[in-house]
Amino acid sequence: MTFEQRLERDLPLILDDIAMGTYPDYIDGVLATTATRRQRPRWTFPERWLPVELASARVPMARLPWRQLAVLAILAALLATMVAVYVGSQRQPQPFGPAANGLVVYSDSGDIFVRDAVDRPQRLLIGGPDTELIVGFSRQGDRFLFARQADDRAPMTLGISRPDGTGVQMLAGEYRLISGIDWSPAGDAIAVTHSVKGKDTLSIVPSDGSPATDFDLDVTATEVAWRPPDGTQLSFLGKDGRDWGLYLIARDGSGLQRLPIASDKLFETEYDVRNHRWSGDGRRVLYDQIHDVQAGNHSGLRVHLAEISPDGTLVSDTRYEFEDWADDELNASFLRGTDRIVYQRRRGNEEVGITDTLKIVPLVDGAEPIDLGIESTAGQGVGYEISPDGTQLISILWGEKQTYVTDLETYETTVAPFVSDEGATWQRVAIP
Amino acid sequence: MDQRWLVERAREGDHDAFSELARAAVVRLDRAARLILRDPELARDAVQDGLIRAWRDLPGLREPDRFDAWLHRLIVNACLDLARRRRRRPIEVELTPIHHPAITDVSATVARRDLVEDVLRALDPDGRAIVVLHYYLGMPMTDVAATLRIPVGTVKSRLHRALGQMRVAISDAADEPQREPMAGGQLA
Repeated sequence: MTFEQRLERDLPLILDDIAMGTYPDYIDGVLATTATRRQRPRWTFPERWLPVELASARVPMARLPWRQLAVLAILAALLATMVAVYVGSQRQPQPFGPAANGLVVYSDSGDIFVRDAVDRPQRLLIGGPDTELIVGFSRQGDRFLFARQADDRAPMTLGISRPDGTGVQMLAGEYRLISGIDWSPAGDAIAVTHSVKGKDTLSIVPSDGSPATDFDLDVTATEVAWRPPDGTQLSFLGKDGRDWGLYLIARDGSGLQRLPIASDKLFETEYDVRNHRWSGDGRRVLYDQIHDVQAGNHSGLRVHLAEISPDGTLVSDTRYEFEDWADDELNASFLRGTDRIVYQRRRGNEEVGITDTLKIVPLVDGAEPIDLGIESTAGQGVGYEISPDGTQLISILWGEKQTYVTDLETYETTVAPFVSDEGATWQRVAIP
Repeated sequence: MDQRWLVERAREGDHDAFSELARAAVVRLDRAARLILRDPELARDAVQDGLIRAWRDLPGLREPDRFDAWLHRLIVNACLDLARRRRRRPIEVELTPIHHPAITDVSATVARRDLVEDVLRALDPDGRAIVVLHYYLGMPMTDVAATLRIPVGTVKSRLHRALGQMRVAISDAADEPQREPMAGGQLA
């Protein structure tokens, strides 16, 4: 046995000896602390909210005219009523077509709040003793879906209300560990991926309150989404027992197929197809995949764009790298009706510090990403939501507990007059 | 009790299950944090931070079978985060009993904790984390790489370098001339 082999053999015992300590007496304190804290709902982990950074200095955030807002509160309340009446009376938008901005909804500390616009006064939409979590409006904007949980151990139930929070109807079933949830294009059902007896399962929940259908598949199912434009297919991230992959399945549970996306087989394929998001026509899907980057010196996520034919054939799969020195580029979404995407860039690691930034870039060769001036250094990433008309972007810095609004035409960023701990979304309404 | 079952219960908000998991792991986590940070108080802070984050983020754990690796990653990252912030402050040296018995046999030095400890202390926190993850927590190099988000090649080279430093330190100690104890048991 060589010296190194002897040393390696003995090291665990030596290290144990060096570190020797008694049973940590602080464990009771830690457990007491965690007992009073709420767990983060699984479906809010999204890597759909993700990271990036900006080389330029942070954009100065303009101060909001709080006093003026307070003075205008009564007028705004009247205006809110008028807007609600107006929104309720107008036409509905197409599920994936252009739409105008409706109400802004966000959840904070277990209740759900609404504003007629980002800078309008807040009012309670759904509240009460239980924890209510935001899911989102139907694609027609006529109903609002939320999740309710009595306590941390309880399963979640799903409820639907009118846009003004009235007419609450609870849907069938109870759901644990929701990893994905999405309205059908027609608004008649909600697809949910959740844990059933320990297995990640895809279920279709009718929005009329009738019983849900659980799909009994040979693969686990997470991060579900309806494939545009007609919703005859759904897509989800699944694992067949060995590898992760992107799957398509018909709404009735037939035609399960795995897209033949190439893999570098890194990290047991766990980071192969994440945060998939469809284009409005359902022919292109953005997703993240991990690769060896920076000349093989590092493993990092990169954005992919796959073209999928209507019958589910993989036509092409393009890997993008907007900045070759970025540690991660991920969590991309199309800007409405354009070939530009928003994505997050992450630089650094836990040792040197993590910086997440949001960027926009056209999907053409040699395009320079535009920095939105939104920077998080807390290491917990940035979530974002693009307005239905594509002119605004709400970003939430999870670690900093800060919310920003960016004008996507001028790229001016301001601090939002609200904070959300679970996400924010917009109502889609028909274009006047 | 089956750990996977406990993890699944904890993922669904069962705090008793989480307590059981945490109690089973805390000694090893505390020791790993002490090895990386070389400061018991900082180690305590790191383990506390890591466990609180583990409870909060547990629903996001996709594969219950990887709970240990996931928890180790949280604790190690908490350690490295603390170490990074700590660099701006004066270095605090842990006071430990000094015992340097005369070296008489090279083979016996292999297991000498003080020499290994000196080398460990000379490594940066990242280097210590690699050694601790691999040799103390028993992680395969691929998992160490995934935990620290560095290439496997970097893990291998840094482990090789750390082992080399230990070998040199132990060899140097063996080459030192032995000193005879003076009267009263004091070394010259």
